Amino acid sequence: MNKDLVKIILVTTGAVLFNLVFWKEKLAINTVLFDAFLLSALFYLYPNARQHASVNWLLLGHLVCLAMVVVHNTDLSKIAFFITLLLVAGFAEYAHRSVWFAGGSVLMNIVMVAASFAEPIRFSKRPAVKGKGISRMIRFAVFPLILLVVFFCIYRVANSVFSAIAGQIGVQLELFFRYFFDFFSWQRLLFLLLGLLFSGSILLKSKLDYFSVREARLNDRLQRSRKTLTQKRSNAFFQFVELIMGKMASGMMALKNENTTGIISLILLNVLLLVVNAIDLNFLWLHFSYKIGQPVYKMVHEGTELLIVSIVLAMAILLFFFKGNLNFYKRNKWLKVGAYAWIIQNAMLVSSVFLRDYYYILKHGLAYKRIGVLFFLLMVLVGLFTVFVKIWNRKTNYFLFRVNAWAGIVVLVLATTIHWDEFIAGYNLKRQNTVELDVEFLLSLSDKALPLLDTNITALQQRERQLKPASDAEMPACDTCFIEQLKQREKQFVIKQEQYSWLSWNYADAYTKKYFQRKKLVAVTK
Amino acid sequence: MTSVSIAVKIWAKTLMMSATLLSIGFTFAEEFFAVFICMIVLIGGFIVTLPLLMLITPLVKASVWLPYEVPAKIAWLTFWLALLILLLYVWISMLLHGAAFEEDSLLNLILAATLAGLLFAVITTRKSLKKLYSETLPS
Repeated sequence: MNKDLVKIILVTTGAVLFNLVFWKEKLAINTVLFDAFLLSALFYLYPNARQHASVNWLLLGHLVCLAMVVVHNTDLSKIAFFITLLLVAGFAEYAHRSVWFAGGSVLMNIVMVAASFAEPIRFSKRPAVKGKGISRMIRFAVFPLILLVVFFCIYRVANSVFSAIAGQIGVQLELFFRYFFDFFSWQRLLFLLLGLLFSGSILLKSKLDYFSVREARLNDRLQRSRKTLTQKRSNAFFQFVELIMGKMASGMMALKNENTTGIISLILLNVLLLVVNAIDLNFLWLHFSYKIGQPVYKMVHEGTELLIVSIVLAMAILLFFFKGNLNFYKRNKWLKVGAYAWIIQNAMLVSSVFLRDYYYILKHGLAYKRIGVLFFLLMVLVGLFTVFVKIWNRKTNYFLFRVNAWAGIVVLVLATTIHWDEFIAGYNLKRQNTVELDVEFLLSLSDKALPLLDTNITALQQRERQLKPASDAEMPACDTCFIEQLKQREKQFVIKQEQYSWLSWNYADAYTKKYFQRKKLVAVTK
Repeated sequence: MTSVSIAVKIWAKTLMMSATLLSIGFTFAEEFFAVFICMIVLIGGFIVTLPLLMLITPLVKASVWLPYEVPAKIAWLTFWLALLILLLYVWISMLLHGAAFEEDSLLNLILAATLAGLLFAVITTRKSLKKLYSETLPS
């Protein structure tokens, strides 16, 4: 069969399948059906894709995310599922090594989907017969139609029988459209369009291969390049540097001057960071204690955000100094030493931020942001290590961003394997004697955490009593507020589950449902 | 033939056609007063939606540079214009009803008429578009 026709059929089938399995359902077991179809179609259309290691690794990561959608059904697993699916398509259809460029190609697929879908459809190339074109027919119809409307209005007012007949036709037309839109509602039509857009973006390769062409020109190894002063001056940043440094930036000794500036900068920055690290070592690592009256969150929030910014800025400074020919300069030994010391000191700063987060978790328990900081620090450590490799092995920025993006994908996939809501609830409730329980937050966690909260109902009640004296004296005492909230959540869960079919089956919901069925809650609410 | 003139053509035709379609619909529904409103909406629409030309013109320009056949370019342009209309109506619906789509809303009917108007506009502007694409070949 003609491959173009196959593409159209597959995309249309994908859109219909999308409409059938996802309409008024949540992403769950239905995702497996849709994904199986999409991946089969993708590898049928691009059979050589499976030969690339990157495609196979991404496919593995994607299948892990898919499994986690069915098992944990968290928002994170769903986001990771979509990201990895789009990237599998990007790597399968184009020649890519970097996630960034593959992402760009997928974006191009999405933007071009309408053109890619229409391109294979062979429109009739016969010359239009004069007087028979649709365009001509429409043009002829417009003016008479307007006249018809005007006279229709006049006759309708003037003749009651004509008005009655026209009224009946109007009623019939209204009924027709009402039935039509009952069956094909706007939302359903738009959902079908969304399915078409999604299937098309995955299966149809755009003709614009801008990102793969650009990536083909890049490589990991840094090449020494000679640039004339005119070429250098075309860069706005160089113009800015020249404005400050004057002839030192553009003369014969420009590279030497750049090296000296770099050494001075790194020495100063290292000394400054050494002071900060020494303070952290003394107060945070060796003599830390929770101060009465000073909340821990203040220490963490004030410190962490700025420290994270400083670490990212530190990496940017190193990238600036080691962007070009300074990597090949013979007397760059001290610049490199300064850079390594700067990296090590920043790694220590990362550890200090980690310690701040750890103390915060010890006092207040786990929460999304606190876990987010841990993941961010992990990524920063990877980033610092790759900056070290870049300087040591004279690698390009392309290498740096490529490796870090892959690390990001690995972390994302691994992060989906844990049900964080359940983990947070379990961790905090297990340490209820040492951790200040934030029950409002615990009650906002997803449905999978409900059984855990239900089994620890006494702990919630205890916390309620602890908080009571602090609350407004005029408010009526409420021993069961948290418990009532929990019961409300449980009822909402049961009602929500009744609206879904087997297509929305997932282990997390099935587990919660089974727990409440055991407690006979389902029978009571029915 | 320029991108601006084609953008103006598509915009004006869409407005006129959607007003005509709505008038026909209201005539059958014996809403003569609504026909009058349609005429006002048509004139007002030309003024209110004039800034949309700032979005339509770049889309027409972009379609010229796509490395696709002419029908695919026209399909791409129609798709993005339809999406633009849809987003506009979703925004209006959010302002009026607080929801992206409200069932049995008059807005749905006007949206359908506008989309039909757009199709009419693109079909009747095909020749001009083809001419523009042939005059400005992508490098």
